Amino acid sequence: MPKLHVEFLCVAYHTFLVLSLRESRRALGVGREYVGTLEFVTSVIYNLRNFVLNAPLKGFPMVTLNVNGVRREVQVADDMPLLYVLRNDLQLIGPQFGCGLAQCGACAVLVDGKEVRSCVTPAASVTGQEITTLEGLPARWAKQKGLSSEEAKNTLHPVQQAWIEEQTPQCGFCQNGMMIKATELLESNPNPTVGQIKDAFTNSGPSPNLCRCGTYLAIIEAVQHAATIMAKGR
Amino acid sequence: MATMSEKPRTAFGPTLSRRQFVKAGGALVVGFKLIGPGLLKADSAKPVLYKNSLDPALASSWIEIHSDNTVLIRTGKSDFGQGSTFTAYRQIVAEELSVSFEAITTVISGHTDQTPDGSGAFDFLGHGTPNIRKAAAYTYQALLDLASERLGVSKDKLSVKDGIVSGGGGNISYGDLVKNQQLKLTIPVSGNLTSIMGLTIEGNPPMKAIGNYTIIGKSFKNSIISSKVRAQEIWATDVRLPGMLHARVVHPKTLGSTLVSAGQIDKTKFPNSQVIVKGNLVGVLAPIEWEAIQAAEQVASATKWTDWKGLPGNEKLYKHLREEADWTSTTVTHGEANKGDVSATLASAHKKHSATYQFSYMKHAPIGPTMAVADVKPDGTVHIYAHNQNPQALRGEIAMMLKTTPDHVIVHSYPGPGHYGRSNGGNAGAEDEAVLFSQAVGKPVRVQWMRADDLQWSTQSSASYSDIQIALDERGKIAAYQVDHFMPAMQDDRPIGAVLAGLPTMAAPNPHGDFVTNTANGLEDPWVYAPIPNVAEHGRGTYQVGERTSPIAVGLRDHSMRTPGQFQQNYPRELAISEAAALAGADAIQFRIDHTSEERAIAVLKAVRDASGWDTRPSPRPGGVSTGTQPARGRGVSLMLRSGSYWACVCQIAVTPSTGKIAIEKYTIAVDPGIVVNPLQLKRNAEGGAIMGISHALFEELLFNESSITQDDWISYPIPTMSDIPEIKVVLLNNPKVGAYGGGSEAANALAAPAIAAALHDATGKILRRLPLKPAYVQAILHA
Repeated sequence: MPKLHVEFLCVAYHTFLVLSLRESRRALGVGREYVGTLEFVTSVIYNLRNFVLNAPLKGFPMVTLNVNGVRREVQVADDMPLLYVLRNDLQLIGPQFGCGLAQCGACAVLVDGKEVRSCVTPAASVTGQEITTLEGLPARWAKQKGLSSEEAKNTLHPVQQAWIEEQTPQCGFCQNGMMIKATELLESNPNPTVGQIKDAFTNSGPSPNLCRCGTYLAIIEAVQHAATIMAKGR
Repeated sequence: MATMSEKPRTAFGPTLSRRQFVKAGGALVVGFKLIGPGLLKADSAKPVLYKNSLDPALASSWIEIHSDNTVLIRTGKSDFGQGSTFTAYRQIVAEELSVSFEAITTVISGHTDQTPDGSGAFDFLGHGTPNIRKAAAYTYQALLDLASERLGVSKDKLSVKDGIVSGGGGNISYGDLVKNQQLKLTIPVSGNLTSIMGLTIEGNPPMKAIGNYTIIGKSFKNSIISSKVRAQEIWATDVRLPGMLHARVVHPKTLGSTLVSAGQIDKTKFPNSQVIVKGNLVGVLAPIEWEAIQAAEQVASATKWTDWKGLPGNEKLYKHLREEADWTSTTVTHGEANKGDVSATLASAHKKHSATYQFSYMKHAPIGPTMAVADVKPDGTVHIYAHNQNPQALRGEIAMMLKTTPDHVIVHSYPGPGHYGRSNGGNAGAEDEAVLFSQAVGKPVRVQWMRADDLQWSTQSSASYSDIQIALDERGKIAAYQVDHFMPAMQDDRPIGAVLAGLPTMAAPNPHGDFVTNTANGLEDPWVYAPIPNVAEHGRGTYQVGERTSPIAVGLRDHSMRTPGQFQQNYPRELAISEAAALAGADAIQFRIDHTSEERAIAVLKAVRDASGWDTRPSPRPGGVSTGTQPARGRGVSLMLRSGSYWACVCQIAVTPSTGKIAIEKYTIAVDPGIVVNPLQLKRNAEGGAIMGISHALFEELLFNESSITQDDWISYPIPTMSDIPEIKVVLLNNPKVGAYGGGSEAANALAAPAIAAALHDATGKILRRLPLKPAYVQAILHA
């Protein structure tokens, strides 16, 4: 019976979170500050849920993942791709399912600073490595710049700042991967030319990063803008 | 599907009523009263509105003015990337109400029970008078009435700035006007909520003078971009409900197969999975998504289907359409601009151009495959959580499938991958399947299509061909223009899960169908060459390919896609006009200017000529070559009027004859939408459209054999990469004297193809009249 209670609580809380985030979207920016707290509390509850419930239910081995600077214990089948762990077990919504074939980039995350396609990368293959999702980009930047925790709270990664300032996304479904790719590129080449940007987004990953809405020009402009912000250090 | 025409507008005044005293706060709520029968005669006997099942008091509201001076707006239109609901709509309402952009703190869109008007997510700006603008204009008048009463000053002596009404030495804020009372403004509305066009606000409320605009014309940012970039936006893909199961669909072997036997689950490998079968609909459900994916693969390999062959195959598509399709049963559409004696003029032409242009099937190809979550409650209430362009129409379709009324169906809209028109008539593909599975297991079910499902089981943009004849007179002017457009029915809104399960749906496209299901081919490309004296445009429609030979009436299901129908008609027209210019020995831009009397068309043509560095001369280019390994360069132009906006584009290309590969080097696009509402958002929409247009022109073609669509991933159905994009220049021509704002999200994707084909002719002297311009085809024609 305790299992059922935990399940009920987790699910009820997640529903509450979903509704809260929906309301905050409707408020168009108002009330954003509590979203982070909700996410944290939810992650704690879900870790608890995984710990209490899933071992007897799934019978899968427990693995430890380092996601956005936090150690997360999850149970996964040997071949289960990281994407499903991130989305369904860890409640992260940055990476998206686009093709399941490593052909588009919508699911991209950074693993030790390198862009990988989480839809084909077994979760068990990246234990011990540093996984960064879109949610983790602000903290990644804050750590790189040595910002205080107070400063870090109010900081977005320069790539995210540039994406907003340039109004880059149309539907935005691919943009998780585009921002991950941009971060990978700018960490190794802080001032890329247009040719280098095109090359990175076309040739450096398992496949080109694809955008169906045709935002490639807006992405190029945003990468250049992000480079400028990064050069200024904030 | 018949042409979407302007709706009748009638003068009809609003009424303002006070409701019960409200202890805290207070609000002015704008609701509606339905006038007359539904616009669609066939539906006039049915109810056209449905009771709200969550919050009846708010069901019918468009705009709320709150006592804290904030404003809430509601629209049935779902944003899927254009940004109009979060930018243009806020700007339009802020402008009409004379409040700041920031005062509009809340936008609710797309949810069936929380938004009023329905309709698809297209034509957001409604030729300058979208519903939301009229709602705001009525609201403004009501607020002035209230202020006049409170301040003791006649309405004409009042002025408003940032939500403060001033006059007669006094002033009062909107918030204070509505404080401690609940006021309800009723405005006249017509239409059918769950039809594709939804409801329309009637009457002619006074609107703000355009010269007084302070908010429209500025580049306000789209708030949803910020929340998406921060990973704070809940997408449809993120919805998880208590006890929810993950599902994958085992789609039939061919487009006409029926189920022989469904495979059994291997319970040793997939202990928590189950198979659900409803007619020919087979699903595999499991609590863990990865298990559902793997179990579905195993079940698919063990499921047996009948064979079916009923498609011509893409190689023989044109021959099939030309020689075998039935073009006689469907009513022919005649162009509104038809005039003169075309046959006689063609017979006595000084010079004559005669050609056929072919247009392939293309996929909407959203970057994420379609998905939906459904929750069928024990009392029969259905909740659907999805990314949808027309939630009210989906509601109607699901109700029809379940033999219930739309009151029992609630659609919750969330952001998702853009699918460019696929669900503007209600469904994108997975919603009905999720509902049927949820109903079967009594739990919420999330259906996620895989990439192959999305390419092979979704609808597609129609193929077509057009026969064009043009007569030139001795002066090199067009004396007659004749076109016959041939296109299978462009709109199939039958939910595929309902079709497979054998449950009720709207009719398959047919010659006697209603507005949506008719096979008629409407003329969608407004005529812009008025000085041409003899014109004959005809639209000819037919059944969808395979529809009548399939045992389940499913062939290649077509559906409108970004710039629907007009793309299929503008491409042949504009390429033929460029060919006629070449035949006349005239420059392609000047030739167009000489054949139009529309100032705005001339202005966009001149704008792209100047901005692209166009060299005025006839095509083909002197010294152009169609052989060798050195790139040949050329340029082409195209022109379009869509949704009140004039568009022109110039493409400059380099083609390598030995490989047939085309590189677009520079792409210049100019648009006069009338009033530019938000320059940055319009520019981004135009750029995106331009890049999608390169994709349509060079890459996209549905491939199919006699049984099935054969593409299943991004390798077999390629779209451009970042390396394929050229230098792009967008020229915005703000034209306030038009007095309205036109559309900005369509047209740009359709302009590229005729301009690129004309550029190829300019570069090589060879003409290619079939899309897409893939290297093998280009190579074959250049070497012929």
